[in-house]
Amino acid sequence: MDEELIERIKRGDPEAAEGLRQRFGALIRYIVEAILPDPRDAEECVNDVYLKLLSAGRTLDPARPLKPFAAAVARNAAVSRARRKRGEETELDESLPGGSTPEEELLRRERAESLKRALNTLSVSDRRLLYRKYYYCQSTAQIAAELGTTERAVEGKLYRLKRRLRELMGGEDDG
Amino acid sequence: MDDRMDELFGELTPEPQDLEVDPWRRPVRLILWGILLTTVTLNFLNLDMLLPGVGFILMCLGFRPLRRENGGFRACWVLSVLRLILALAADMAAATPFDGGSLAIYFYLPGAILQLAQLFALRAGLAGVFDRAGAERRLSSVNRLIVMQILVALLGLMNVGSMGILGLALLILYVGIVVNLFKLPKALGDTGYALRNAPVRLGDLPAAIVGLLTFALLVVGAYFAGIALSVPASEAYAPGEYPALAERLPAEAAELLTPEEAALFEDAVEIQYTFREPETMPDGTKIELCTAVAELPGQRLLILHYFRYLEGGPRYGDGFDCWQSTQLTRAIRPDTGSPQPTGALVYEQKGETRRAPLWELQGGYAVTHGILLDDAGDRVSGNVYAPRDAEHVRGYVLYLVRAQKDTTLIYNCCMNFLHTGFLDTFRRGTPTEILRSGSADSHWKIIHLTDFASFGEASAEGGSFTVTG
Repeated sequence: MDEELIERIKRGDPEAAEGLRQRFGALIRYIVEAILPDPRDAEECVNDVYLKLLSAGRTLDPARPLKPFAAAVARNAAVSRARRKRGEETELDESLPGGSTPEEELLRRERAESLKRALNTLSVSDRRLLYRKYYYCQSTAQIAAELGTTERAVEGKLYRLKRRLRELMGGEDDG
Repeated sequence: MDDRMDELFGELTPEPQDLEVDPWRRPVRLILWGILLTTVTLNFLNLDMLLPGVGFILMCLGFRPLRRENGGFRACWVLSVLRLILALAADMAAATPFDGGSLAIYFYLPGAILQLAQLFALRAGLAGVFDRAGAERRLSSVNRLIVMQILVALLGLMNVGSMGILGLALLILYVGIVVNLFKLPKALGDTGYALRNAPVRLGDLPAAIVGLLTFALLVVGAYFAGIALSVPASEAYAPGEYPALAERLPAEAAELLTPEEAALFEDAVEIQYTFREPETMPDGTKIELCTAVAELPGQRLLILHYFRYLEGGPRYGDGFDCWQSTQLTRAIRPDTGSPQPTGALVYEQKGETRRAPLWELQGGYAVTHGILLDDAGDRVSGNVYAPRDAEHVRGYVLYLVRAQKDTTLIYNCCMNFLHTGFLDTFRRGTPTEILRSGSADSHWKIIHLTDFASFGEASAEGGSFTVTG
C-alpha cells in the first residue's frame, strides 16, 4: 500500500494528497494535536505536514514503510512550530534528522544509534511509553489517561525507564 | 533531562510497532466489555451477579477518561456510576431477607431505563467525536444495539421468560452486533481525533480491584446481615403423641404435628408414604425427605412433606417448593376452603429441643422459568432457617389439595428442596422470593422427589378420591 502511495507521490499524482490523508491523517492529527493545543496552529501544521510529505516523498524508498517517516515529519513539524511559538529560534529539520557540522552530525547519529539499541532491549509497552513522552511529546496527563493510570504512576515509570536507558547507554546521557 | 531526551528521540525513526498508540482502544474496549458483561446473563456459579458487577465497573473505568470529551460521554460516565450503584443496591437487596423478588421488579425498570439512556448517550458521544473530527459517522452497530436493547427491555417488561428459538435468534443477533461494536476503537482511531482526556486519581487496575472488593464486601455483608435479621422465634418443643397416627405415618414425622394437624388425618381413607434415599450435598450436608399422602373424603388429598438433616444443617437460603403433577397440567389446586399450609422446624439447641415456624410458608400461584418451558401453577413454598448451633434439624410442611375434575390422575407429589452452599451457590433471595420473582430455578440445588407414581383416580360416585396406585 505504501509502495503504491509513494509511487503516486513521485509521479505528482494530484490524488496523492488524499491518499496521504486517508492513510496517515489520523496519525498526523493525533501527533500534532498533542503538541499544539491551539486548533488553528494544529490545522496549519497538519497542512504543512502534507506539503512536506508530498515534496519529500520523491526522495523516499518505496520499499520502506512510510508510516515512521510520516510520523517523524509530523512530530518535527509540530515541535518546530511549538518552539517558534515559544520564541525559540531553533528550528528542526522537519523531514530528516540533521546537524550543522559533520562532526555534530556524526555525534548525533552515534547517540541516536546508542539510544535505539538501548530501546530495543526494552519491552514494546515500555518503548511505547517512552515514545509517547519524548517522541510524540505527549503530556503526562494525556499518557496517564490513555493508559488508564495516574500521572504519578506514569512519572514513576518514566523515571525508572530513563534510569534504565542511562545504564544501557553507558551513562552517556547523564542529563 | 527531558529536553535532552526530546532531542535524542527526535533523532530516531521509530519502528512501526512503536507507533501503535491509540487513545481510543483502551477506554472503548473497557466500555464494550462492560456492555457485553452487563447484557448477557449466565445463570450459574453466580455469574448472573458477578459478571454484571465486573461489567459495570469496566464501564465506569472506560467512560472515566472520556468524561471531558463531550456531553454524551459525560452523561455516559454519570449513568455508568448510577447503574453501578443500582446494581449494587439490587444485589444487596437480593442478599437480604427483604422481599428481593418484589424488589427485583423495582430495580428492573430503572435499570432498563438507565441502560437505554446510556446507549443513547454513548451514541451522542460517538457522534460528537466523528463530527468534531470531520469524519463520517460510523454508528450503525450502536444503533442496532439500541434497537436490540429496546426489544429486550420490552420482552422483559412483558415478563417473557424462556423464548426458545426467538431467544436463540436474539442471542446470535446480539453476538453479531457486539462483534461489530469491537470495530469501534479502530473507527475512532481512524478519525485521528485526540481525546480531551480527563485525569484520573486511581489507575484502572487498582480502581477495578477497589470496586470489586467494595462490591463483594457490601453484598456479602448484606448476606450475613440478612441472617441476623431473619432468625424466626422459637419455642420449647414437646413431641406429639398420636398412637393411632403413628401406625400409619412415620413416627418421627407424626410426633412433629400439632394436635389440630394430627386431627386432619383422622378421616383419611388411605395413607401412603415413601422415603427418599438420603441425598448428600456438595458441602457434605445429608438430607432425607419423606412424603406422605392421605386421601380424604371430598376429593381432597392431605400432603405431608417431612425432611431432616442427617448431617449438617440448613443455611440461609435453604427452602422448598412443593406441588403435584398430573398429566401435563396442574389440575390440582390448594383447597381454598382449608387452612393455609402449616409446618414447623424442630431442632436441638444447647440441650433443649426447640420448635420454630417455617419462614414465609405460603401457598399460591407461582411461575418459574425453565430453559425451554415455564412452569406455572399452585405451589407451596417456604424457607428453612435454623440457628448456626442447631442440631438434628428436621421439619415438615402439611397442606390440603383438591382435585378439580373427577378423573384427575395424580402422578406424583413433588418437593424441591434447596440446600445452598455459600460461595458455589450464593443465594440471591430466599427460595420464596425466587419463586415469586419468577427467576430461574438454576440457582437452586434441587432434590426432586417424585414418590407417588399413579397415585389415584377420582371417583365421581363416592365423591371420594380412590387410590389405585
